Amino acid sequence: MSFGARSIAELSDGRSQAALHRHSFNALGGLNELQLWSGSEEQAEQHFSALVAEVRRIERLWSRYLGDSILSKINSSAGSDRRIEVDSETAEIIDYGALLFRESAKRFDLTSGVLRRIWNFRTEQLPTQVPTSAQISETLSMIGWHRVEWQRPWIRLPISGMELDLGGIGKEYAVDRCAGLALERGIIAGLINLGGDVRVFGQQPNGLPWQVGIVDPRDQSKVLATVLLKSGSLATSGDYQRFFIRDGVRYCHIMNAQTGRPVTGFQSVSVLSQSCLIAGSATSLAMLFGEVRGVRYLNELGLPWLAVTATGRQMRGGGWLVEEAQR
Amino acid sequence: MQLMSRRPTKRRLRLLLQAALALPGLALSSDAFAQTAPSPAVVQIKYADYRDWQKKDEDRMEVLAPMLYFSAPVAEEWQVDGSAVYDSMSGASPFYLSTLSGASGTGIDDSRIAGESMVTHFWDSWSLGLGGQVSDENDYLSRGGKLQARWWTEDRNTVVSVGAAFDSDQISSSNDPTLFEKRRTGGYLLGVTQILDPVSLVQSNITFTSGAGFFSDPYKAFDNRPRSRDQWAWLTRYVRYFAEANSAALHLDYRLYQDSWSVYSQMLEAAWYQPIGENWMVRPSLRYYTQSAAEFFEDTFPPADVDQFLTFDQRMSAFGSISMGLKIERELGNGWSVDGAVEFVQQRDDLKLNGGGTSGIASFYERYFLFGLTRRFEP
Amino acid sequence: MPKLIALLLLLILSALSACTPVSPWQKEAFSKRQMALTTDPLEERFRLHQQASKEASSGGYGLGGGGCGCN
Repeated sequence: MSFGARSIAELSDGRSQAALHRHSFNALGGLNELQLWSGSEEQAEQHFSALVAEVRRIERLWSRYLGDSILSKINSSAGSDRRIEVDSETAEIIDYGALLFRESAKRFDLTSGVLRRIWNFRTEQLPTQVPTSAQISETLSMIGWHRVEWQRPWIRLPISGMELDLGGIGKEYAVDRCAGLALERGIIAGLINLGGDVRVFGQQPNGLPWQVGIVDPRDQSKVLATVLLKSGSLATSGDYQRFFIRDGVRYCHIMNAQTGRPVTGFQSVSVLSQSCLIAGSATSLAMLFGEVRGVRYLNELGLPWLAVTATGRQMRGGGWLVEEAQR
Repeated sequence: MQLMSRRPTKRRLRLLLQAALALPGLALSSDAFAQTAPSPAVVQIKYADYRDWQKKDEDRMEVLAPMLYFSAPVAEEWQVDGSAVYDSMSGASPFYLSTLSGASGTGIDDSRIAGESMVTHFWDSWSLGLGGQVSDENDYLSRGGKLQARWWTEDRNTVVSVGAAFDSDQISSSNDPTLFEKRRTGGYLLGVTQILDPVSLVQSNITFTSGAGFFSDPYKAFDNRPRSRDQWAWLTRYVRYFAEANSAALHLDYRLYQDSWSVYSQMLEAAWYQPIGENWMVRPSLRYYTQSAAEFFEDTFPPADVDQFLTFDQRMSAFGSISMGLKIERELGNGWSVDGAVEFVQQRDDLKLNGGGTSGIASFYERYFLFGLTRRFEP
Repeated sequence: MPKLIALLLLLILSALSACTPVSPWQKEAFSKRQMALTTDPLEERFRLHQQASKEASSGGYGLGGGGCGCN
C-alpha cells in the first residue's frame, strides 16, 4: 500500500501563503487522504468538499448495497429476462472491465465478486474459512463475463445469483476523477490517496517533488522504496491488504476468476503511470498472472514497475528511478 | 541518431490507454505516456535547388533534387525507414584552379539516383538495425550495407551506439571509356548519447573509415591519389532546451577530423530553433569550417613531378568556409507541416583558421533552397 | 590540436560525470521535435552529402553516408 507524501507543510515567502492542507476520510471501504496546496484554509475546505463529494458519488453509483444504484438494479435482475440500460459513465467502465477480462486471459472478471460469498476476509464478522472445492465449483458456475449479455447500453446477467461488481476498478477510476476535478477547480498541486492508490499532480510550491513510499508487504511500518514524482500515479496491489492465514497458507483477497482461488505469485506489485486506472489495472493483472507471466506482462506493458515475489525477492523494470528509502 | 524514446508503443499499453481515454474527466493525455510512445510514422518529400559558382556572375553547377523519406513503426518491435533522392546535375564542376578554368572542363549533365533503407528491431534495452544503400550515377556506382547496434541503460539516460558499414564502389569516366576502377570502404562508429539534465543532452561519436582502391578524380588532369585512405572523425553534438523562450532549442555541433592524407579539419555549427506562436518555427544557423590541405595537394601548374601523388582538386586545398542558413517551418494541422530553408556557403582560402591558406584559389560560393512537405501520423 | 582534443575530452567527461540521473517524468523537453539530434533527416542527408562533396572531410554523424561519388 503506497502511503501519503511527506512534504514540507508550509511555504511562506511573502509572495504567496500557499500551504499544504490535508484531509482524511472514510470511503470505498477504507481510509483515504487528500492533500492540496492552497492559499487559504477556506478554499481548501471547499475543494475537499467537492472532491469527497465526487468520491461518494462514485461510491453510490456503483454500490452493491444501495437499492437504487445501477448495480443493484442489474444484480437484482440477474436470471430474469430484463435488460438494464446503463448510463454512459457506467458503460465506459464496463467496457474497460471487458478489456481487462480479455487482457487478463479471463482472470479478471467483473462477475467474480460473488466469490466474496465463500471467501470471507472480514475477520471481525465471521470466522475465516477456506471454502471446499464443491463450494468453489458452485460459485464458479455463476461467474463468467463471456456469459453476460452486454450490448451497450443494455446489460443482462443471464444466471440467477450472478453479480456485477465494479470494485476492482472503481477505486482507481475515482482517483483519476478526483485528479481531473482538482485540476478543473484550479488546484495548483495536490495528492489523491484512495486506499493506497495514489495520484499526484502539479509542482509543489516548495519546489520538492512528491515523495510516495511503497510499503514493505510484510511490514507495513517499513518503506521498501520511495518514488519521487512530479505528477502521475502509483498504484499497488498486494496480498497483505486483506488476507487470512490458515494452516500456514496465506489467502489474499485478489481472486483468480477462472480458478475461484486467491493468487499466490507476488507479495505486492506497484506500477507507475500517469493514470491511476491504468496503473491499478496493471498491478491487478500482474497479481492475477502470477510471477512468471506477470513479469512478462509488466515488461510487455512497458510502464515502470516494482514487485516483491512470493519468496520476498524484489524485482523492477521499465526504467524508472527509485530512491531507496533511508531507513 | 534519435534517442531511445523511438520505441514502438507496446500494444497492451495502447489498448489500456485508448480505453482509459474514452472515460471523461480523468485528466489524461496520451503525451504523458511519451516514455513508451511510438515514434510516429513520417513521410516527407523535399525539393532541393542547389547552385554553386566561383565568380558571382558565372553559374557553374546546378542541382535539382527531389527527395523522399519515410519512417514507420511496424508490428510491435520493428521500425523501417528509408530515403531516396534523385539529383539532376548540370553545369561544370568548379573544382579547378582559376588558372585551369575553361581548360578541359567539360560540362556535366549528370543524374544521380540514390536510396537507402534500414530495418531496426527493438528489445527492452537494445536495438539492432540492418541497412543498405545504393547510389548510381552514370560514372559511379556505390552499394553498401551497414549494421548498427544500440544499447541503453535502464533509466534511458545513456545510449551507446556501435556500428559498421561496408561500401563497394565502381568508378568510371565519361571522359575515358576504358576507365573502370573499384574501391572498398569499411566504416566503424562508436558513439554515446547522454542526457545531462532535464533540458540538455550531448552526443559524441567517433568514426573511423578505411578505404582501399581508386580515389583519384578521373576528370582532373594529373590527378593521382594514394590507393588508400584512413579517416578519423570525432563529432560532438549538444542540444539544450529553453522553455522560457517559447520552447526554443540550441544545437551545437563540433567535429574534429584527420586522415591519412594529412587533411586536418574542424567544424563548428550552431542552430537555434525558435518556435513562434503555436505553429511556426524559425531556425537560423551558422557553420564555420576550416581544413588544411592534403599532403599531395598542388597549387602550381604545371606540376613539377607527375610520378608522385598529386591533386589540383580545390577540395583538397587549405581553406575555410562560412555557411549561413535560415529555415522556416509551419505546422498545418492534422500532422501536416511545410518547411522552407535557404543556406549560403562561402569557401575561401583566407577563411582558414590559421589564416593564409593556398593562394590563387578562387573563392567558391554555394546557395541552396530546400522546400519540404511532411506528414506525421500520430498513433 | 592535441591540446584541443584534451580540452574537449575533459569537457565531455566532466559534463557526463556531473549529470544527475534524469527521471522519466522530467523528460518532457526531449519529446519536442526541436530537441531531436536530427530534426530533419532529408535536410541533414542533403547537407552532409553536399559538404562531403565540397570539402575533404566527412564522418561523425552516422555510418555509410551513402557512397559519396565525390572523388
